[in-house]
Amino acid sequence: MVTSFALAVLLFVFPLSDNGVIHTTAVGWISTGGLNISLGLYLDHLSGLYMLIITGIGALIHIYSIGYMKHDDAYWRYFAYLNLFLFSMLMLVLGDNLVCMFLGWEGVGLCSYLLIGFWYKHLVNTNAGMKAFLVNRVGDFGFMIGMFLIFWHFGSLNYTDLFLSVDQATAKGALDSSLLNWACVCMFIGACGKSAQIPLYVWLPDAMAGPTPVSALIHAATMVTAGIYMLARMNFIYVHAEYAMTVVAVIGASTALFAGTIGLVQRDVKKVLAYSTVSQLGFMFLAAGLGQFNLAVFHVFTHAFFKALLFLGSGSVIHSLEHTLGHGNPDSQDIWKMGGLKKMPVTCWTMVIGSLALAGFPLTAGFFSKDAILFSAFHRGDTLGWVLYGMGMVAAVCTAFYTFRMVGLTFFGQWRGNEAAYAHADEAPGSMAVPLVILAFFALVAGLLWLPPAFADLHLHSESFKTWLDPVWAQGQAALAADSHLRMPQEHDAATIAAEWMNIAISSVVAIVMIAFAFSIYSKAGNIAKVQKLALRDGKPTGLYTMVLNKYYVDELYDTMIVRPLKLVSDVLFVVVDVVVIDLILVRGTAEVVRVSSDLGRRIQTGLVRHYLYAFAVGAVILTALFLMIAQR
Amino acid sequence: MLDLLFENHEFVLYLVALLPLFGFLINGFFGSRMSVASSGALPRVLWSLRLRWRCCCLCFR
Repeated sequence: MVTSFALAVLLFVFPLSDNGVIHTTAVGWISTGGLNISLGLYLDHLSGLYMLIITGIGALIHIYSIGYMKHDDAYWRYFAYLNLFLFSMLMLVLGDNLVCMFLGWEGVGLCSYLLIGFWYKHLVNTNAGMKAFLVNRVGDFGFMIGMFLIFWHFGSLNYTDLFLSVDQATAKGALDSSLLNWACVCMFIGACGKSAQIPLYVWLPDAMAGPTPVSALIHAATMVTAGIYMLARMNFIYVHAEYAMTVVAVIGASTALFAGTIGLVQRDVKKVLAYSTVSQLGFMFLAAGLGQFNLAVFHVFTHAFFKALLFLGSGSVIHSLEHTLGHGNPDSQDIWKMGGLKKMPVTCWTMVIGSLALAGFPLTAGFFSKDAILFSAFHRGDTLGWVLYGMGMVAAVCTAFYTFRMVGLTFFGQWRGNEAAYAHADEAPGSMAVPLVILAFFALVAGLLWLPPAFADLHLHSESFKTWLDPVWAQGQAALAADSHLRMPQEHDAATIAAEWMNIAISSVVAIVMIAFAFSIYSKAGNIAKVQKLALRDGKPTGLYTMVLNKYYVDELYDTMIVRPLKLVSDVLFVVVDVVVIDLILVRGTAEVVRVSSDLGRRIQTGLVRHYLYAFAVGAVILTALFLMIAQR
Repeated sequence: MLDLLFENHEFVLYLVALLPLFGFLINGFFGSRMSVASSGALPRVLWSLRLRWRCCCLCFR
């Protein structure tokens, strides 16, 4: 992976920086009727950026995994799956057509299933893997329908052909807006499955059953952002599907808020981070739905660093506690049974840096990308924009709170769990600590690649990230009307700059206040007791707290409305079709008819000559009688 | 070799995409015996082949 990353950097530095696009076809694959699909690679500024994220974060997580999985019996199987995942992910982003993307899409789904259920001897893990696999298939169905519709409209699935076809259709005014809206919504359903958006987000929190480095790489930094990649790649089609874009933005903001509130009450450190991932993915879809694809990709970029860091940091804590508590002990992930773990300094302080970035603390990576997304909602200027801004802001408040609730409960205050586990909790080995430090550095500085235009007032100007990606959006932006609210702003007037400063101020104050509030409560034993007294009645949660603690009963709702009826229908079909029609009537029934008729026939074959002579005589008499009767007529 | 890397970008692109597949194959086929991380798999395989080559040379000398 390190070699792959080094080569990816080489490609990034040389051909791509010359504004070049590399398009190469390895071999023709499907050629039937009007459909021509080849296996080829397409490297442009968008896929190049994703390639760097995948190989870079992948390499760091490989190094981390050497220490984390050291004592696992199936060490080799883990790395085999992890490499297959990275290959599939690279196919997804580098493929030169939608079918190649779909091939990678399915490949990463398979690897996700294999890695969630990696410790397959535990039923919880295999069930979680199965859930992820099945929920993703629902989304994939939508993705396929979307692809078929696009092929129906444009007659091709190759990106280069699609670029041309959309341009020509736009010039002729021949775009079927209704069909494009349906195609985009269907493909977005696929993205909802892969990127864990409402209503298909339920698999991601359960996916935390897999090894923690897997959660960091697949279920936080790379695979779950495949949906954003798909939207960004197809941006030149999405900009013509205004209704679909509104659906994307509303679902994104709703998911950000919904998952953010659930994250507030989780006890499992990985579950807190999982809901935070769902929430942050919601922010990315919000940006994409507002037409700001560059901001969505910018948040993918910054999020990859700080979320991978947070997962790896939590893995370091879990790894350390499992030495004493034993592998798979739920106490090793329960933040209410932790505290005072700042005795692991590298893990603690890198986690604090990652948490600051996630919470949107001023000048960290997450601050710049999240703030820009919120501002784009505000800047839209209509009611929908303000509603989305409000939802995003509340989600940001939740994010800052639950992140520092997690930090306070885990690393500060007093230890609340098994004393022996605390005594033996040690800093992670070098192979695990080095990736943490590298990721922490990028979690701090990655946002500096695209500073808000308002910072130009402070003589700070950096738009290299935006400039880098501009060629990717050029075609889509050129097709938009000048006053379209999906247009990416290029110039900012004084009023916009003033509004942006206001937004920066609000975001900063919200983040700092919520961080301080959560930290002051959860880092002191006395305050924790007070909070528990407020939230619990007779030691049990009540009201809204119970509802959020049970994740709004969504799993139970799915169980009642989908899983059980499906099981009932399956049971009925099993009894009626399998047992009665196939087994009883077709298989056993046929055999029974043959057996009974054979049994009857067998009785004639006695083997005694006198019986045959008797039958012969009777037959002769009957035939003679028949002949006589016919002759008389 | 370096010229190939700097000039033939398509070749490099294929390498980037296919190296993880090699990692998968190496770990999948030889993993249980070698038990190596893919980040170190290729050098180790080459090293192991080099050792075998040297052994062969010693045997036939």
